[in-house]
Amino acid sequence: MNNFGVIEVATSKTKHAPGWAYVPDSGPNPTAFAAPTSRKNRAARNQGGLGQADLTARQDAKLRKELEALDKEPSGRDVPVPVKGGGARAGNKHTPNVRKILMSQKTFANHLDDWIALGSQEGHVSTPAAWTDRNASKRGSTAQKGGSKARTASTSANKTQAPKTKPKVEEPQDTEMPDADVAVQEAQGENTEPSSYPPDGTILPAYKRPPPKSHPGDSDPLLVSRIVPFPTDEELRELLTAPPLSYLDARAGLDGETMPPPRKFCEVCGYWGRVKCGKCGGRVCALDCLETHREECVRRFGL
Amino acid sequence: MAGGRKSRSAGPVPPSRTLVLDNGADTIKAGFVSDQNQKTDEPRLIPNCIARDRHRKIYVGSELEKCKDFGEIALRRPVEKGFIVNWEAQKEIWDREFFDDKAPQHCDPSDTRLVLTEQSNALPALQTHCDQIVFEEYGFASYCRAIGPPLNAYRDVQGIFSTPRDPNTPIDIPAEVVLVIDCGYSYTTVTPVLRGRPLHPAIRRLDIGGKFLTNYLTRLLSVRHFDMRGDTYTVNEMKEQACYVSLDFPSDLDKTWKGTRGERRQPYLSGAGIAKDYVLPDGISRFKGVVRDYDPAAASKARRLAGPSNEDVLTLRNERFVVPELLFNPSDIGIHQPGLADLVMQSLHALPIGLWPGLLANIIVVGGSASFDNFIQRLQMELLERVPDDCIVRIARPADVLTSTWQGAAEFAKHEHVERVAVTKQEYEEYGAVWVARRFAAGLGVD
Repeated sequence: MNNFGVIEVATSKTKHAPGWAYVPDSGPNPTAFAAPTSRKNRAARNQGGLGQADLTARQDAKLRKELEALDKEPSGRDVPVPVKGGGARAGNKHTPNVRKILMSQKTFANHLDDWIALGSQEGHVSTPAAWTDRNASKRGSTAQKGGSKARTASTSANKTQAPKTKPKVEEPQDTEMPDADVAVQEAQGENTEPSSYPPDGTILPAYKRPPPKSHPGDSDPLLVSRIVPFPTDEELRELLTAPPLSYLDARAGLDGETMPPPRKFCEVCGYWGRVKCGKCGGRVCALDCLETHREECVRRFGL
Repeated sequence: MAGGRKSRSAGPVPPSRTLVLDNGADTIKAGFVSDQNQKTDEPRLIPNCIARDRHRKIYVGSELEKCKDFGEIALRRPVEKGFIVNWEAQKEIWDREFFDDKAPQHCDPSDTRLVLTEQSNALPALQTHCDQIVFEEYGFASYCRAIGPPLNAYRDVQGIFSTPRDPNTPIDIPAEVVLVIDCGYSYTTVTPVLRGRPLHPAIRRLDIGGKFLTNYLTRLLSVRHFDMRGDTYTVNEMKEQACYVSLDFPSDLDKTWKGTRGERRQPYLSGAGIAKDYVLPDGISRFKGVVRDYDPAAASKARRLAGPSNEDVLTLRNERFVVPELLFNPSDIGIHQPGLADLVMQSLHALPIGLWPGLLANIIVVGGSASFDNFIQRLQMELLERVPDDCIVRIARPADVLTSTWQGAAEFAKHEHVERVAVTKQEYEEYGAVWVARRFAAGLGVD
């Protein structure tokens, strides 16, 4: 069958899918714990990755399956939602949106696949802001208008605030503050109007309390403490206004070079895995556990 | 129309009552906040699941406490990976807990503000669903969806650290700088927070949470003792009662090793202070499992008699510390992710180095999985190895790890900040869901 080079992956990954999505197969699947098992990918990964030269294909598949099992909910998608016996709100009509959401049987994996598919259609995995903008064009013109209006409103609000706050930025905030400024700050601290927050216009205000008592060793070059340069207001502003990372970007990854090699444990008792089973490559600690392991190994893979 | 800002200040007074919901995957933390000056009550903990026991009886939410026999119980959770995915089930639980006439925490949405926490880095589609349900189905008068961990900054953070200070100094709310580690049911996140605002580029996630650890313990026990796969609930209790974080992993592992063939090493026989007996619930006279000190004499006697004993005892040895160890060394079972300390370092490396001292000296750990013994000591030990010598590493765990985020959210609901983020029903109807989503994504902004 000619499927135009598109591989349907949703059906193989997620069982309870009410629908499915076309996902361009571009490199390793980031949703899985381990990369896919194709020979080429594995070879590529083993070069720079954890250096698991002894990880055979069989072990690799087993590991991946185990991790998926561990990440699953302990039990029961089949538990039914009980039908309520005539509560006060039971007769309420739902709006179309709500009905759609309530009827949806999608799992998180389905939603994630949808989102990745949407991102790769655009050629990049989009940030949430871009996503909502795109959605806005699909929706009616009212939402669009509201959105743009809000944006102009917020920018104008920023503009009106800027001159107010600017003159108060008098010095970098990592220096100690003279007493005069403390007074200014306290006066403004009482002012609870939202627009004047934070009071002195810098994002992190300076240290307000009196400095510690002087010490004879203060000027000793050996005892002097090194202070790293504090980020400027612009840097902080940029950090604070940065959009959220996407779900996949926020997942911490591993840079293989700096990490020590993974520790190996006995598959039977959990002690260090010092002996390797010749047949399956599994680790055990000593003869006692090796015998236990052999029984299972023979049962599963034959003599 | 002059847009959002103006209409809000001229708009109607905000509702007098706020429903604060920390909708976790395992438990919902729920409570009301009404008065500015009133002391906040403790929230109610509601299991966020629909359960079916072996007699096919269904329990929804807090009804679960009536359940006595948790053997082979099947749980359906509306929250998956920290996000509300299945609204059919979630609505049923919310309805029973808050909106039905006889609900234990009854509330009238049309006169209530909802402050709902969410997990960071959510999928936009799920956020939109959430907003639509809140306004279109329930019709809350005002609503604020905020990322959970940063709300901890609205608590008295220095009080958690028990920093020595003059009692007259005003408490900074929100705290200036704090690093929140949320070790929850679905996963663990590191969130640097500056004046109550999360620093989005530095939020990092480790896909290991309480659920994963419970599943791992289930697997270990099923391989080594009896098949516990049907009794995840019991295993979870076992994990909470018996597991701890090891401060010296190799030495602890050595003490629990039985030895090579035929050999039984002394620390193994005596238990070395690590081995514990866990008495499983039998569903007749005992409904909760009990942890007991390991009794070598009893163990050998039972083996000699080999007769049917009246109680099922599991001896936990290295299972006690190998399971939480995954948080610090995920590569132990082949997960390609850094451990908790490296996770913090990855987060810090996304920030200017000038912020490091402040963040490292103000780390708070929240969430159910953080309550393992020695958790913060181990984290501190590992962090000290990784940060510059000049940095002080100070880690604290509030007494109420489970409800800490809720407490923060409750303080947030009283703070004037909430007015700047919350959206009214009129605004939702006027500007639409997209505008609301963008507003929540922007958060408090800079000023």
